[in-house]
Amino acid sequence: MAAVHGMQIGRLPWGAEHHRAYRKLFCHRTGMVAICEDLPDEHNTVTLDPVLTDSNGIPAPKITYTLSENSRRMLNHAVARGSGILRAAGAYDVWSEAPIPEGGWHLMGTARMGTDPARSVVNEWGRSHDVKNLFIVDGSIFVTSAGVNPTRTIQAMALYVADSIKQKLATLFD
Amino acid sequence: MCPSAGDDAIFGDILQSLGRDAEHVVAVLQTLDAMAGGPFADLDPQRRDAIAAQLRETRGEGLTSLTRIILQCYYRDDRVMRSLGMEPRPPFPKGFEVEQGDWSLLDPVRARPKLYRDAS
Repeated sequence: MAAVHGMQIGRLPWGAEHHRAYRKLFCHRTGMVAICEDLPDEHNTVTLDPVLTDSNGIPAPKITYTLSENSRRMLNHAVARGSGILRAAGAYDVWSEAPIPEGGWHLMGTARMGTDPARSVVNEWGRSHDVKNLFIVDGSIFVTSAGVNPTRTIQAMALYVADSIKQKLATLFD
Repeated sequence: MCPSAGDDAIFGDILQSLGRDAEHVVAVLQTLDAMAGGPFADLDPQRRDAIAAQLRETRGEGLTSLTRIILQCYYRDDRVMRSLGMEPRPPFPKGFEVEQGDWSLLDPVRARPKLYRDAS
């Protein structure tokens, strides 16, 4: 994987020099990843594509996303601190990319929790404001990206929403 | 002596490993010939390197597949693994010995007051 990634990002040459370059790095490299809390922005949306549809004519999702200035600054800060740590540890060739072009981007939000139907899609225990027998239990109900990998939080939210359904069973759709 | 990816055994492994990527890889090789104005393999080494560098700039799915398969087959060859100082075997079940570093480097970190909150 290290060789594949090195080739993709142009750190390893093709041809006769490839093996020598890889052998020089092999077992002498390490990595560091910084993850930032990408705050919700009004202009980042998932809407229905006006043109693109699937084979049944159902509109495809249209994702509009721009990395905010705040997120860029957080990433730059993290890269600067991470580079400093690596250099302090003896690294002599430090390379960075932010944001990573190929990697895990966790998509969260778009059906966020809230008490105000004008500003949120589900209420504080996961029930849709508009459709009383619809519950949403995934990363889309997050109100922000949280700043770390979301699976554990999604699991906790699932338990919380399930427990809320159980406790409110008698008046669930009121 | 470390072989190149053009070694008969490694090349044979590449051909056998193409699988569902074969179509993409063939398309990339055709692109390579088109960029070369004829068979890419007939060019002199310098010209081949130049054309390959041009191809690299194009990126694309087929090129990614081609690169991944070549590297996968190259670095699983026993001779290549030995040239990197690796035993040609999987890590499990024997494992590898990790050289211990100087753990006292962490003493100042351990002595530091905690900077996190307790979970409630």
